[in-house]
Amino acid sequence: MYAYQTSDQSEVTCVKCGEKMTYGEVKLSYLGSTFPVSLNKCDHCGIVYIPEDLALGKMAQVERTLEDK
Amino acid sequence: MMNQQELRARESLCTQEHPPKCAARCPVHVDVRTMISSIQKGDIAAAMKVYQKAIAFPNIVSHLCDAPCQSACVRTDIDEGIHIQQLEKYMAQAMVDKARGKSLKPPSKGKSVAVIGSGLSGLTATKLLGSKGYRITIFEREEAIGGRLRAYDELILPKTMLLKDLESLAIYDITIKTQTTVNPSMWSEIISTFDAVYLDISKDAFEACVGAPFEAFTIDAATLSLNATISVSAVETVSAELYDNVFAGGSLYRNGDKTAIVDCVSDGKMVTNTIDRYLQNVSLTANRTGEGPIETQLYTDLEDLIPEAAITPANFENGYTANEAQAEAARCLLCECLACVKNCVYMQHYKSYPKRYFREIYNNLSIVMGIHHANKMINTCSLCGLCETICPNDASMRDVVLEARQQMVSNDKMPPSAHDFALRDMAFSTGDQFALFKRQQGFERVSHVFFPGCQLSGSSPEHILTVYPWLCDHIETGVGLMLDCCGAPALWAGRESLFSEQMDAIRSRWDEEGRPVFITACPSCMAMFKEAIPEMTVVMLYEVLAAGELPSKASKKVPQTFAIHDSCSTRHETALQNAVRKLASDQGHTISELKFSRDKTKCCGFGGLMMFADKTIANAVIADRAAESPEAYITYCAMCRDNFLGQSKPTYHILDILFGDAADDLTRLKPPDFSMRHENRAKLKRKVLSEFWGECVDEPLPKVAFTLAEGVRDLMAERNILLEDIEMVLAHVKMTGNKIWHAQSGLFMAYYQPSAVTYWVAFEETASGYHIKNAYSHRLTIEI
Repeated sequence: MYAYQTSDQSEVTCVKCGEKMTYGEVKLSYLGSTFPVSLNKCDHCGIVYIPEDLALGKMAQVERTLEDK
Repeated sequence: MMNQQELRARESLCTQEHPPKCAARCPVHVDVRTMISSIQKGDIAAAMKVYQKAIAFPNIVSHLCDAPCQSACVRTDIDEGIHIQQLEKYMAQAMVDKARGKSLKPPSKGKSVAVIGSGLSGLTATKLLGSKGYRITIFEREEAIGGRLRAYDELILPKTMLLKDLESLAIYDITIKTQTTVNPSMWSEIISTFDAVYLDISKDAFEACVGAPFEAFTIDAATLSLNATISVSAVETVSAELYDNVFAGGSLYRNGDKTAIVDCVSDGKMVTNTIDRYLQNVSLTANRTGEGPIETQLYTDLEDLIPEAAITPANFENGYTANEAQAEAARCLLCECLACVKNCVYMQHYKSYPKRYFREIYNNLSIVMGIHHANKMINTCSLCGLCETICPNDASMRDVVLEARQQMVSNDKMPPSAHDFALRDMAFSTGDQFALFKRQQGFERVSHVFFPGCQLSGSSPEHILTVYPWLCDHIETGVGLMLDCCGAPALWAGRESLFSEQMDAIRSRWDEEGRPVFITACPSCMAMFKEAIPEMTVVMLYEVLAAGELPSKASKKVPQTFAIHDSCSTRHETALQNAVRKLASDQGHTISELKFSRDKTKCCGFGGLMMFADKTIANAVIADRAAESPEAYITYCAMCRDNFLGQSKPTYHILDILFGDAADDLTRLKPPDFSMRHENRAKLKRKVLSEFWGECVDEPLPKVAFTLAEGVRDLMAERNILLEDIEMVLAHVKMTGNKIWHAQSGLFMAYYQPSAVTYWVAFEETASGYHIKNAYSHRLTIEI
């Protein structure tokens, strides 16, 4: 499971469930590839938090690589 | 997909790898360009190294060469060919006392070659065959080797130069027999004891040596093989088989004493190749190309070249001083084509030229497994067509790139992120919120249809509200209005079927309406119609305006000087280009032409969807074009204007000049983002319906009310996020209650994936609605 680095270490809470979100396995997929990543999520409803630096950094890089495969 | 043969045909159009004229004309192809480039850099040792690669005796040849290169030099068309021989002489003099890299004695090949006669041709063969490990014996009738080289005046060929070169033979396995005149009996022995023989002697000496008339032989130009003709076989001592191992060149083969020095060198090199092949028992003729002078197609652009006289040495006998050599070398253009690359920011970025790009693209398309490294390069070309216009052979990046994109789409290898956003913009324009067709009020049939195009509608909708009634007033047979997209983004993105679908829809409507004349305000639309519906009569609004009387609103701007930026999609439409110039000058403005105008115009950075594939390169393209002239620009494409305005280049659309507010000077500093374009198009549709057809359409109420914090709108434009995307996320929040509390920033976060992209929004909740503080997106899908 990939452990993406992020500078966003804020506490995040799922408002609907009132649950503090914790790191756990989330599956990301693109163009037929699926892989597990460790991200903050709500154990109760499954909502996930993806910080901005991750979306625009590492994840964008993975997207480009998969697109050029 | 193009096959190997088509690839090679395309590659052959690009002459960048052809040799310059000087090197092509030189029979031994001295790499003059590299050599002079080293002199320009002051690296004479490197220059000499290049020269020595082609010339076995550089000190001698540099002083005596007839320099056919010089008359072949492209500068002869402008002023004077580069004095290449003088530069070579300078190099030899500068380097004569410097230690050069030592040659090592090669391992012996165990075979022997006789060289009869030791002029430059024989000596060149001796040195080159010696360096290949053959054992050489020179037979020379004079008391020393060198032939006519020894006869030169000291002022022309100093003895030090001659001796220095002859010394270089010392390391090879060479026996020199001077004062030895070969007679027929020795000759018979030589041809039977040596493995090969090279004759570099005069005609008389030949006959005395062989004992038969020279006319009884032929010398094969491609190999320098000596062949006895049939008539000679009657002579007892001469039979064709006996001469299998005999080769001849130099003054015997050519022009006696008057044989050009460089031709002697060339024969020596050529016979070395032949004898080496002969002794290795391989074909003497297979794959022998490029020996002797060759043709070259290399194109050199001399357009901006200022004539400059060649440098003559102040002291002719001594030759150039270092400064003189530098000055003469500086005149060399180091010929290469790159005519297209020099004028294309995109090709410069990828640091190569069409021939290589074609190969890269072909390879990229052929990869089955692995990374497609050229995807971005393929998707970034603006398809503007300048390269093929400049190229003397019409080598076209556009054709190859467009085919590649189409193939990537059909093979499902097109990166979705390259064009998705542009195709979404097209989908908006072909959808209900914008697309419309109406006949002029009171007409059952119309002779014309006004098709303003989606980008002018998205950026300057006010002009359509002025122009349409003007057209209705001036065309008595009725004018319809069609708001739609021509499909250019689909074509550029390689989506052939989507493009055809859109064109088919427009064609059907055009057929149903009795094939009216289309008047378009967008050059790209015009190009698309001409390509996809060749039977359609399509004219540009500006030609219609130039031929008519303009509305009274026109002509308010203070006369000034403008440069016209022509659109790349209509680079060959001279009448259109003239019409735009006429419209501007009729308003009292002065036109200053850009260097790259009309058929040689440059792209504004939008063509081919380059700004979606690579914003950095697109911005560099825009900056390059904007910097071409200090004057304000006039365009006749809304996208061109908006791209220049985006970089603060004062630019007007010709309609701004004709119908804009006089006080509007340069105030349009910020072009609309795509959210604004959508909004403008939707508003335009409602406005024309109510103004021209009396149909009221209510403005749709927003699903969710929200405001944007400062800077967020620009950020969204940069990240290709639309207001409607934000609205969808917020509607999703409202419906599901799904949101995250981010303690550190004190903001709520929410996400939603309407189709391919997942959008994230950071927001505050206020009494009046949502206040957006940030937005970003990604394409990786979160699996539930």
